[in-house]
Amino acid sequence: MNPVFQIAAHEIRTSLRTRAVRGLGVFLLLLLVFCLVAGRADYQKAAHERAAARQAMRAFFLAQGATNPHNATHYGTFVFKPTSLLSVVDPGIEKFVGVTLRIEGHFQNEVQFAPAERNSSLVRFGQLSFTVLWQVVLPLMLIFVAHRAVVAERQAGTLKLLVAQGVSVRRLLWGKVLGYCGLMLAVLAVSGAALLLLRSGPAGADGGRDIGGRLALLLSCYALYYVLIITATVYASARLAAPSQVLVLMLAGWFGLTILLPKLAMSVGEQSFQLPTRLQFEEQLDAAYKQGLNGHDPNDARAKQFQDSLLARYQVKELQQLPLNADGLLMQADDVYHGRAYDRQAATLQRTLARQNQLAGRVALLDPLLAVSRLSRGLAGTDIHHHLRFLQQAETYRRGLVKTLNEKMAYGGSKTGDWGWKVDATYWQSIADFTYQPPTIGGSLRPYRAELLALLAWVLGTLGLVHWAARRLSAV
Amino acid sequence: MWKTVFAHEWQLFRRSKLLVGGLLFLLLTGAYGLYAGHAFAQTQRAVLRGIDASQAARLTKHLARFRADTLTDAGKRDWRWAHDAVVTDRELNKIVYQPLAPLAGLSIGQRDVYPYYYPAVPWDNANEGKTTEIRNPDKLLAGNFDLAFVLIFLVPLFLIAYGHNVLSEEQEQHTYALLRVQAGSVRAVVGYKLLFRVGLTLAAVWALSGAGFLLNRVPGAQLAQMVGWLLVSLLYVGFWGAATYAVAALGRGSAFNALTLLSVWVLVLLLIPSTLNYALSQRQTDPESMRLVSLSRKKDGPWYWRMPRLTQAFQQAAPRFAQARYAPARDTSEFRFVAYVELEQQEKNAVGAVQAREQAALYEQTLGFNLLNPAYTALNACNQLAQTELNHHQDFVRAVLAYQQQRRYFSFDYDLSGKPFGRADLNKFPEFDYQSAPTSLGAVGWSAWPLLLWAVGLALFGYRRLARVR
Repeated sequence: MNPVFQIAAHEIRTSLRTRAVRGLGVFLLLLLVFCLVAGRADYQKAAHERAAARQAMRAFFLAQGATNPHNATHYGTFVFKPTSLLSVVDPGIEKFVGVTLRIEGHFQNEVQFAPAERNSSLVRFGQLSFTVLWQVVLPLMLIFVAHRAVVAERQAGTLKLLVAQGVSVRRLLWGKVLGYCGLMLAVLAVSGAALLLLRSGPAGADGGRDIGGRLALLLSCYALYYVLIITATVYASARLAAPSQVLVLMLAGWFGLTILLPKLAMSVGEQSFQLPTRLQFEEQLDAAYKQGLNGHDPNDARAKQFQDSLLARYQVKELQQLPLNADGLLMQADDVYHGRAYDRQAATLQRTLARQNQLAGRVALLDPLLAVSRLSRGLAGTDIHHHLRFLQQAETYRRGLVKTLNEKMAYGGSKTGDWGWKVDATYWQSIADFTYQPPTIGGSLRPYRAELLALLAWVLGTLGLVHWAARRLSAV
Repeated sequence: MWKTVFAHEWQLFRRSKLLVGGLLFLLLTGAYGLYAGHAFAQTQRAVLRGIDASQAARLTKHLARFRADTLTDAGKRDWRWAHDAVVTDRELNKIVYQPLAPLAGLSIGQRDVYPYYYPAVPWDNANEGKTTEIRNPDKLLAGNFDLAFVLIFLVPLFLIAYGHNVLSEEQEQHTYALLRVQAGSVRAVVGYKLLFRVGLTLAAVWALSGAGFLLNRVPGAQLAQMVGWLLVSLLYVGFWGAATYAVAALGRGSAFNALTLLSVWVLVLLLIPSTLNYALSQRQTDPESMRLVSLSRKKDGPWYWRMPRLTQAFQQAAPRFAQARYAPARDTSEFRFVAYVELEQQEKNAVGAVQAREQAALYEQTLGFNLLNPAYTALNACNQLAQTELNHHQDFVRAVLAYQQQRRYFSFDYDLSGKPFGRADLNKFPEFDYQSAPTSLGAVGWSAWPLLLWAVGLALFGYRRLARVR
């Protein structure tokens, strides 16, 4: 057998014989089971609540009876952000964004009722989930298990013996790395197998689609991160003189990468690229609206211009003489104008958000955990890109709904000024409900190409470090 | 003896580059925490100043309507608006806000998540929370980098690094036997050594806190709150000092002590709070938000009721308008509007009250676990002093809802009684004079008692256990 594999097998056997490692393993298993059961229950509760809410709102919409179509745009409806099945693994930003969005004519509303708004600051400690285990606890355990890898052999004098027997330091290091990787892969395999059980439950925002692929990619990202930690710990263990030094160094690194740097990156990002306040945003939007067309204001100059253009096009003198209802077209022109004004403001806002997050993306080049956590949220469908995608699709739906209703008013057979004209109660059945379309796996990963490359670079870098630096390491 | 031990410890500290570097790092991150917290508070204060400025501008604009040229169409409209109380209320668009407590920059708490201002026009309702500030959700997820974060997460790590070997280093350097022979009491030497280390850590925390008070210009009137802050940091550092003492007293090696204390850190700072957060969030239901949303979906609501039913319901909901002078002679749009708004607001308030009670109960349950949750105990105590916790937000929302009703009734009174509304009446609109009472020292002490209990318990355990170390 290849000595590398022999060393790896020996390392696994020795680790499993250690009481502390077995204890950690049992502890980790218990936490995994808890996260799976709790996460699944949490997901099912959220999915059930949102499905019930969606159904109730749809029922209200369908039951609105005979109504004027434009009045129906004011009544509007509500859409709910569906929860993703993989939020069980990584809840991401879900607690901090609203889930309820009112859809109505003339206005773009904000999503309301973010769970964090109803909670005390306990919510800021996070929620025990696979993310906490995979991003915080498991790396710590790997450091604890691997920190004595070489330094203990040196202290016990067995390193010299191994070298004397013809085992090169490089092979020893690879064997150790491979052994710990084996342990880590076993943990991930158990987690992955347990998570596959989720597929038997109800489908979420992702419709259960791509779950296997997303899960495989998620586990691969974490596996790469753990390879990095194991390699770095084994290398430190080979370079430093005492286990306590290895531990201090690795724990300082863990703390910096896990707790300090992600918070610092976002804090600096927020201060470097300031978002407008809600008041500023609304004032600017209001100012933009005022410069445009207000369909409900009879004195509005642009509305008059629009009406005049209709008269000219149809070569009639009175709006009532038009073969259509000009109010419907006016309301639609109003909505189109509002939409353009909103898009401009929202684009500025999203650019600032993107700049803040880009800074975090750049810091991810220095902090592989930041890269992994961003990739994890992206794959789980709980990142900001999924949230913005939901908002964009909801807005597209809003515009489509309002356009349909305004055009129904314009071309449905009523005359200008006939606000009493109504569509019959069955009309609402012809309007489709909103359905969120999640991105494909490729689409989810697209914003995180830099993070993926950074993670690969880190792993290759540390593997290279072990490979090339092994020759300079002393057995004494 | 303590003087000798302290002098020796000081020399050792000065010689250790690692410890000096660690302390500098702690001070540096603390300074950044102060800066970030202060910047956050300043941004919110700027928003509040902006609200005041826009309110003043709206008032000026509206006052001009009393002098409108009524020969023009626009002038007629302006004059009509100026003499209508409800329209005036709409045009003034009064926004009420929760001022920042002086210590808010030190412990942001949930202040970045909760809405801190609300419009008070008749048809707005604070329960709907439509004024949540625009924030980056990734930033909210990452959390705030304020002094409270440095105190709660970083300070214990420094103390662990500095204090874990307080006894084991003597054993590992083979000086323990000497110590037993020369010193009167090993307990006293170890105690003084740790006291110095805890004291140095606390001095760094208090120095940062002092800088924070100065930076945030905390007024002298807030002396009790500043003392409260120092007390909370003392209790929290004391808790970790006692934990270090208890582990050191087990008489094991430095590596064991460091590993044990780091495991305790992970447990206290990460696992316990996140597990409790999960467990408690399971008790939270969302139907109240759904009910709030559903209220706007009614197609058979008050707006569509016949006058007798509407009048009766309105007068029951707002008995002060049951007098004859408010009774509508006929079905007027003014009365219909007023009754509709009032009934809708009361329904929203009823749903909101259920939701608020549920939140308050959940918060009480969270506090009930404080004995098991030292990290949150400390954070909550800091937030109480900074007035950035759920209970402060709920106090504010209650005050806003009461004010919204007061203001509504003021303009409804004119609208329903037909009383003329003029320039002089503009000054009679009720004012919002919300002032949150600062958290008293006693309340802070009470909220942080689990830290004291743990600290005393662990210190006693360490003291007794130390006698058995050979």
